[in-house]
Amino acid sequence: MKQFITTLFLILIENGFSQSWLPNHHDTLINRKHEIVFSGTADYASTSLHNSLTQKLFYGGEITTEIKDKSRGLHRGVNQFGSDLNTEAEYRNYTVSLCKNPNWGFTAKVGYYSFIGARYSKDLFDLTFYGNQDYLGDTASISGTKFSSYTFQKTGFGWLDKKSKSSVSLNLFNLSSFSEASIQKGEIFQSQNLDSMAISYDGAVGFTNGTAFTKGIGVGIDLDLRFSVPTKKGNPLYYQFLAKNLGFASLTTPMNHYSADTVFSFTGLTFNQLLNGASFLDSNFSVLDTLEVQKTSVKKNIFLPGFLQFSKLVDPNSVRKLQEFYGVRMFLSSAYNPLIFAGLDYRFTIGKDVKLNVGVNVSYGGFTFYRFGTYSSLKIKNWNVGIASENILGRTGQSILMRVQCSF
Amino acid sequence: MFFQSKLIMKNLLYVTLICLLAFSCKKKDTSWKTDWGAPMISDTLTLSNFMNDSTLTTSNETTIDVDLTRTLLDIGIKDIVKIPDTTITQFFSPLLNINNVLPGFTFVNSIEEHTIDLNGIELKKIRISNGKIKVKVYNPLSTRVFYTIQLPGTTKNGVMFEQTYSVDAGSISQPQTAEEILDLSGFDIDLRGESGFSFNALQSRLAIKTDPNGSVVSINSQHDFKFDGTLYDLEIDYAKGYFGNQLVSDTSTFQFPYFNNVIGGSIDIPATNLLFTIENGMKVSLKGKVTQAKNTNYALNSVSLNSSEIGSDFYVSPATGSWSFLNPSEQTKSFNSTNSNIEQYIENLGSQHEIGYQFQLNPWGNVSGGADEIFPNSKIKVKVNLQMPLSFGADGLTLRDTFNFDLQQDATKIHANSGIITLNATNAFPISCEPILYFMDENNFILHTVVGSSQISSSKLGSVNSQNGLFEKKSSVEFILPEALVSDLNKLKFVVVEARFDTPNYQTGINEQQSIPLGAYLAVKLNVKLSGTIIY
Repeated sequence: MKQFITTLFLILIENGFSQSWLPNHHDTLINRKHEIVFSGTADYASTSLHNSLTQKLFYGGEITTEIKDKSRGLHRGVNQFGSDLNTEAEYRNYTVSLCKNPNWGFTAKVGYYSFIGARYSKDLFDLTFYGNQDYLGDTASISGTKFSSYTFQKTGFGWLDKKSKSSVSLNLFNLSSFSEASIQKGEIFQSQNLDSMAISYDGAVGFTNGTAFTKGIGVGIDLDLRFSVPTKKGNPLYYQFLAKNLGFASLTTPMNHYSADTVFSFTGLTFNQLLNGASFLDSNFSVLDTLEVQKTSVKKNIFLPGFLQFSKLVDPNSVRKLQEFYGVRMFLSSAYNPLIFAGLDYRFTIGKDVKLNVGVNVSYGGFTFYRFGTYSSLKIKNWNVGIASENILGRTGQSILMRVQCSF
Repeated sequence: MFFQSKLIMKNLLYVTLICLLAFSCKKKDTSWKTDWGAPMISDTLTLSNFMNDSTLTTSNETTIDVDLTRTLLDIGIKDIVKIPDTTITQFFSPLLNINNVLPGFTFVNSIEEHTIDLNGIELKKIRISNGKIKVKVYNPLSTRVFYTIQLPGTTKNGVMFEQTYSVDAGSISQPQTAEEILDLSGFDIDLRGESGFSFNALQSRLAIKTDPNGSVVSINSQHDFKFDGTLYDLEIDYAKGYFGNQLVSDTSTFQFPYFNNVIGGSIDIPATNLLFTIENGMKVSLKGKVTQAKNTNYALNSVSLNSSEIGSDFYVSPATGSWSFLNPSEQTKSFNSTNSNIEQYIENLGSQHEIGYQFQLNPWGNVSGGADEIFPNSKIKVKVNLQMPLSFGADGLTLRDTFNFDLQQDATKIHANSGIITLNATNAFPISCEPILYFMDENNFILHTVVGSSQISSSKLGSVNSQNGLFEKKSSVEFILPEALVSDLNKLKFVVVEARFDTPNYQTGINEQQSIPLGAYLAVKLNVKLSGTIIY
């Protein structure tokens, strides 16, 4: 039951943090020998879950009727929620000549990632937070529900082009938890006077279980390809194709998998069933058998929620202090819509070695609709620190991104 | 400049702290309230749910009659005639010394009779349905000996029981033995003896033959040739003779469980006829009587059935015919409103009944000359039969029953807070019912009482269903389960269902007798609505 509620709960929280904060700069620290980058992202977004409810889900506390009503008013037929929590540390070495090529260095990285993506119906939200009593004489549909959740860690090593700062790394992944749900068809009917219920469903739920840290291992690649396009005005335009966590993991321990494609009707027990212990009140009664749910243990390969982004970068060396940036972003998750974004960056030169970049951006897509963001980034000598939010106004999501970059 | 960078670092520290708090630490559980409902019970109760179908009959296709029959006694031949385990022994010992007995010499003993003690029963013939005989022979000679054992009068399909054994050489001090167990099933045994006028007499004969291929031996008076035949576990399915004048007396106690739960109120029943029937399937005369009939109700009030028929002897003739054409005879004693207090007896609603009876075989002695017979299908039965129209009046008749109750929930996890159980009923019985639920702890202490919001009304308050011709009345009763009750759920171990029944006249409201119509039913649909808290 807890797992069911957990699933319902998680299906309702749809979260989509971007793994690459806005904007991306084409680094100017290339002359250094070493570079260390720490970054962290905490982002969730939804089409319909009000922050007051999501915060209760995250931080605890009672979700009052008022809080539920706020989210209920935002729900449409189909809704999305997603979250992206990650932190990553990367080391870049510009001193070595990888494969004896003076232009090639290497990069090494570690990271921790947690990703949830969900698509669900308004009826599922109502059932979860209000129960079924508002559906008497009606059918609640949870068809089309999709949910996936991943927690994994990454260790990577790869090639680095010292001039363009493009890099390609090969990663090893440790999958520490995974769960998924997919309901192609799911309907719950209850009669007006509650003398009958009918449930039709065609779907499956699966999750890894146990306390082992490693549930699966996998491989994948990260790509950070940068290229410039010359312009008539002199300064080239820099573009980046960024791909992270493109890969898969293979389960080392079987996951529990429940599937069913059936119609179940229930009009109540007979007195004989009640008195003879053949009902759900009996300790030997199996709900799964009654609902014709097949339970299996499966090992399978799981594609990780890879991140793709193509964007125009901000050139810190440009004569233009005000620059535009834009791009498109995608997570490899069925609950995530392609996200397009655009923004403006303005560079303040405060001193010889101190520059401050501030900017605003707008995006559309992902796990929600429109989002407005802002950021600031301060460069002091060989340090560059920044903080950003891609969602400063939204009622249905929050976003915090940080990055600390040091070269020496 | 330095100030600005310091400021940013400070902000970064704050943000880091916020993020850690936000995403790494979930301080307390998330909870919310939901309301769920589901059907629980859907069933239709008819009288067949409570009694076997043969109990209820109809004579006019409109109303129901009760025809309740219980067999108090059912005995057969095994209960009348019991053959004890019996050992017969036959010796042969020569009076004179016989020297140089040649191989193959035969000694034949005479027939011996062995009397079986049957405590006054004088049997002339029996048939063994089950049983065995263990035969053991002893050889004191120094040569092999062949024993032939015959049981004259003991036949199967006309062939006499005869067995031959070869026993190796033995000695006087250490005779050699041979032993065998034989099945006697299906054997007829004539117990009239060699003369044909005796009874309980089993015959045997022993023949001894020295080994034709053995040596010459000498026999003297110290050589005891012996066989033991032990008949055991004998069961018979036919007997002829005189079965004595056994007296069978007993008091049968039986429960009428439906009345165990009555705790108050009264009923009023129509004219009733209670029949005692003694059925005699044996070809032997019987004398019998009903010695007492008494029932005791929930309040430990006992009512005895008073009638001139109680304690009076009656006689039952022997059955006629034989074997599969056996015709039992019977004697019936009737207790009705004119000759007894039967209505008072029934209306006492006794759950524990005691009925005493007595009968005696051959009350006039052996008047048949030992020609009594008991066949495999011969039975002596005592039956009680109650016949009455299924019509009664209930005035506050209160039934109470207790059920185990064990629902556990954890207040720190998903749990219910309160609920409503709704019972929607369609009643075709002319009986109203007011239900109450008592929830008790393990010490049977009532912690909570839930009274139904209304009664299940009598069908007489409804209208006629044109499809089945029955009066029907729909009722809806709600049982409110308050938060205090649900919070005590883990303490509750028993639930007592109490129901008060009345049979009101729909015009006067006065309880009076109501006929239960044929096809009467109570359709019940019960659903539950729970307000609960989801804790994640």
